[in-house]
Amino acid sequence: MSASQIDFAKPSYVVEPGKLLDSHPKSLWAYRELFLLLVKRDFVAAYKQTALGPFWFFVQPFLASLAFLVVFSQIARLSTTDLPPLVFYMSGIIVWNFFSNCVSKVAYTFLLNAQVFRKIYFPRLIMPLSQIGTNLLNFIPQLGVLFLLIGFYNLSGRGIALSPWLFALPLTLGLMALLALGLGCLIAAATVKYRDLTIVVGYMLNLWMYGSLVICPRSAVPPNLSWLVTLNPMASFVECYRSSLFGTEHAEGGPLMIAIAITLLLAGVGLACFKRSERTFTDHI
Amino acid sequence: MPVAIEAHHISKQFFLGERNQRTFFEDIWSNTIFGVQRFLQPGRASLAEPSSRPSFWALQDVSFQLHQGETLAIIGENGAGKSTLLKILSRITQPTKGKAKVFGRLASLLEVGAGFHPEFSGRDNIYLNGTMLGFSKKEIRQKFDEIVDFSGLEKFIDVPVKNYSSGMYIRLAFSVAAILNPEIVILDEVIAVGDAAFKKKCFERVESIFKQGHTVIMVNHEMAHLRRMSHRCLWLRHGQVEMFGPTNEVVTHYERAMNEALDDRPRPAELAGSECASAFLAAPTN
Repeated sequence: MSASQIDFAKPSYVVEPGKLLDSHPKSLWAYRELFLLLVKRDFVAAYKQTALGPFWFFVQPFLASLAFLVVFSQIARLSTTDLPPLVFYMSGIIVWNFFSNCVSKVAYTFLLNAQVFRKIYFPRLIMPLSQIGTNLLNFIPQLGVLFLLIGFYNLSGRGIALSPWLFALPLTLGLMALLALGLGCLIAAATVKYRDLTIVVGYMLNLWMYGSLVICPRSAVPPNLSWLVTLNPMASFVECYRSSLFGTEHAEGGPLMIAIAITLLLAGVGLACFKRSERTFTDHI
Repeated sequence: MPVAIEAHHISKQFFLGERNQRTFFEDIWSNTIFGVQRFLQPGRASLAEPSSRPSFWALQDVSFQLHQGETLAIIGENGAGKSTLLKILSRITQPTKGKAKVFGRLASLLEVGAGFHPEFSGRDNIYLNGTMLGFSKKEIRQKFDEIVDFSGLEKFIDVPVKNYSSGMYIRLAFSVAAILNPEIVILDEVIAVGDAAFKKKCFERVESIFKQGHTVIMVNHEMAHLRRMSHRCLWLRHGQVEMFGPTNEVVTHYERAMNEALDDRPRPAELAGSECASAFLAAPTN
């Protein structure tokens, strides 16, 4: 759009009290290149000037899986279906990291970007979306390492069959991303008023993992706690994710429907709150 | 001549103190008390009502119109509402009342550096910032060499900007916005950055922006520059429009008022310390 292409009959934008900022898919699409650059920036920035560089993506899930192996498999003797415990834990940990990093990064949108937001206008939603993109990009190589691990097990004689439902994997990831976006945006909107909320969120995410079928399958959950797992959308998504990878579990329909309903509700509420806050948050933060 | 900016009766109210100072539990507690009070005595106004919060109007009923290709100077003392007006026009915040229509992309030349990421090279940051301003990668690529050339940072363009000196940093920021050339340019505070040679380049660049028919808003520059460069002038005082019109006329009045204010002010020697302080505090705040 050069000077000659401006439509003088219609303003580029109108500033009015109470008016929500433009987040029409079309105007977000116009900033797709910014989105891609931000994803690239955060992906690359994560390992600039570090000793292990991109290897960090693999070291963390491995160490966490080993710790789980000792605590939950060797000491607590929790079932991991027919999967080798290491594969079970690692698959759960990488997808949980994806979700929890999405939530916490999106929650920091206003706090970390206040400096830029105060100077330059662009659709604010680009920032949370780019965080989701970055985390997805982090997840893919981790998934690759999981497949390497599976390959290693297969070579050493312990066959692990992949599920024919593998094509549903992107769908489950999409649902998790939507849940993370909604929840993160809701928290981001609240951080404008209560800045320390992000710390609480960090603790909550840690606790949440233990109720999200990351450390054991649904069949190993004590009956008196099963309602909690049913109401937890992440439990259903993690189960879906694992059953689309391996054939050892089967996602249950009822909890999945509940999970999708909660996700849609949270995404709607979260985005609405985000849109409300982004209008004048620079006055308060 | 088509309009570039239309501002209708813009007002902005800020609340002072209290808000955001309370914790979550204090909020819950006071809201509960408020709810109970309302329940017991429906008619009685309570302390928790927002109307009782102290506030002030940073802008009051500001209206003006600027045409494409015109240059607007905004003048006024500190706290007159100049930055608030610019923030509203650039969608950083919203007015409490009123409405503004903006035709074209708007960017502030000096504040562009806010979007730089320290770990990345000058090259990457040019693209990152350009896209934040709403330009496509293709547009930026076309002007990339010109930007680098203008900044004079050819040798350092692949160095992370965290290793730049503050002068280099600001030169790069200025160059990105000045060469990409949004339709409406804000020159906040000082045009000239860096050393004498770069200063001269900046002025030439700004003059060429004028000549290309871009709309420019200049804030708080030397009056001599304003007289030479800008067509219209908006004088803000305590958030209100004191005068709006041809630059020469407004600047003349403004300078006279400033001189009078200086003359009226008691000499510091005549004041005891406490009186001196109260003279400063007595400035009306609306």
